Amino acid sequence: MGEIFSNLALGFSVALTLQNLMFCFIGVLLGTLIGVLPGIGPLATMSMLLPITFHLDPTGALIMLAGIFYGAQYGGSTTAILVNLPGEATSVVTALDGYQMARQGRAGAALATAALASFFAGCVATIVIAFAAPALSKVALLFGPAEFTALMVLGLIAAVVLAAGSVIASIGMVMVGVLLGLVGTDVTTGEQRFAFGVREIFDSIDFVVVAMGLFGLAEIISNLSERHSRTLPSGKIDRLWPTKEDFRLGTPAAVRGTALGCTLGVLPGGGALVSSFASYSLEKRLAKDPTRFGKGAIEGVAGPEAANNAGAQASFIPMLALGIPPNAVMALMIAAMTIHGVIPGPKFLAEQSPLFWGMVVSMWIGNLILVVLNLPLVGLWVRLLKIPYAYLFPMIVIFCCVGVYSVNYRLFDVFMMAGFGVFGYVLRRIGCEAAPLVLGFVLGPRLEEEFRRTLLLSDGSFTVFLTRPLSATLVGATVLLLVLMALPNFRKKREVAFKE
Amino acid sequence: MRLSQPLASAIFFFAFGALVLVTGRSLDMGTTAEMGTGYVPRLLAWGCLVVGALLAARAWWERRAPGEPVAFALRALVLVTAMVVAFGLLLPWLGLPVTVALTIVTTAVSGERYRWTPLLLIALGMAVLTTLLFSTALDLQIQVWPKWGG
Repeated sequence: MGEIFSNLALGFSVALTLQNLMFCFIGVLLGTLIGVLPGIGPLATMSMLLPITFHLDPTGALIMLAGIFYGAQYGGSTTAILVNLPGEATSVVTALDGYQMARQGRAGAALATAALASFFAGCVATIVIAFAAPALSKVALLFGPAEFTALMVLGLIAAVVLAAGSVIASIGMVMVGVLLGLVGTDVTTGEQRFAFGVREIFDSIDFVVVAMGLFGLAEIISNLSERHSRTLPSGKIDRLWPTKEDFRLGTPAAVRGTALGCTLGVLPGGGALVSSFASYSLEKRLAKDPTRFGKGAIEGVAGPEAANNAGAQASFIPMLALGIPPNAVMALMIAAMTIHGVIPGPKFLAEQSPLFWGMVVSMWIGNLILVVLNLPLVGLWVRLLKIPYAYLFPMIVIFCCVGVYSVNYRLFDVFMMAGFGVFGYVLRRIGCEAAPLVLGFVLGPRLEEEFRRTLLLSDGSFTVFLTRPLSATLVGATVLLLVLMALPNFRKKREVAFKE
Repeated sequence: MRLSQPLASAIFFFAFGALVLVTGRSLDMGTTAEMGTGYVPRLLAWGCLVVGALLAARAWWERRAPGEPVAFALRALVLVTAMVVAFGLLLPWLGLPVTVALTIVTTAVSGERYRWTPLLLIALGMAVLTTLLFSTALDLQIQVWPKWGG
């Protein structure tokens, strides 16, 4: 217990320096600014803003990136509430009741509820991280190559099952991602693979190029081709503070959402998305009058918003403690950390505790800034939403171009990003999700390395995955998930859950 | 015949798996205990082929109700890609601000509704903003001024 306090004190001493506070603030502001733009989710926002953080020191960069992430997440909720255009699946749930509240002239109350519920969830999740991450990293010290391999496979499969879209195609996308991740120099032998003599990818394909193309550009192309009619709720947003009745109904929902998010966020494949869906269906089931849902029920905003923020933050736990990202957003975080020479995992917590605790504390500060920043700035976000797409998209395209060029000063990267943009758009059209691909891309090299090491140690025998108890459990969980997916009953339920 | 989503994705996975197998044919397979550089890629390539086969089977299964056919918004696709490529081609000659402004003005052909005054203002604003942000504030080595006669 005392250790936690001294650790948190260390964290505050790092996070509260003027410079890091500023990075946190800029991150939250930029994240919200881009995240508010309709049709742009946290993944796209983070990939677009990644290059800005590259030229900072690691602590500042990671604090800013985390800020961008919360900002983007919250910005997405704002868009969902105001114009019913969720940037990403996580805000889909918020749009259900939030938009209805906005149409009833209660946009202010919905936005404030979302902000307060998120803040509450953020506070709790920060404490959970402070306790759980060090504990988990101690467990991770027991892991050998077989366990890491099994855990990565479980994480990849779980991420696919718990996300929307066709499971078979998504598993395929993971494999495509791993293959793309293997391009360049092989870690074990130092040999070139699939580089085709292109010097720019001798090392490996640059992560920023992939992320910006697949999420940034592809998203713009899709948005341009689908004409959204954006109708802003008429009337001014004057009353921000929720009513007493809102608090009475919303608070328990937010508490339940937080608990759900903290639990589901840690699981492989978990995170914001699953948590918000789970919270919405829980609230609907618990409500005395479920018919209010979809017509502006405050619990439908407070619960899922708390859950998605708690889930989003809790997913930092496996990422930081094990070095294994449970979802695509965390894959982005890992890639960014690696670029700064910070390798998340059990050793990271022990050896770089100022950085780790600074990040944890700055998460809490970021959440605080979000509340303070967003409630007064609602008017500004509304005005941003009124900008026609014809003016918006060229700005975003330019930002991507300059950003990707600034990473290595290579024009090659700009062209390759264009290629990945086309690739990402085509994937979308043929019904394949890009998120599993990126997860595979980030985990690919490590997965191959651990897999090879496992079989080297076992002298080529695959039974090693089943004879070690920890790894056998993980393999069992993976098989169970796959079997569940094959059952028609479960599949139907999953479809219903995502349609709701 | 119109292409359904499962069929289109099946074709993609077949093509991708085959591409990996063909281009990686010279990679060393090794043994299971001591894997060569080609072991895991081949494993995954076969995985892609299996996924392709499963999706093709599903396309066949659902052939009576094929759902939404695959369609591409070529105009948006070409426009955005052209913008990025143009940016890459122009930057070494014209420097950052001019390239940014020119690229933005070309979006006038997007087919979206726009007016010239705001578009030009945005072009100008972005040119100044990106230059200030990336070249001045972050102090990156990006060429700012055009290369005359180069």
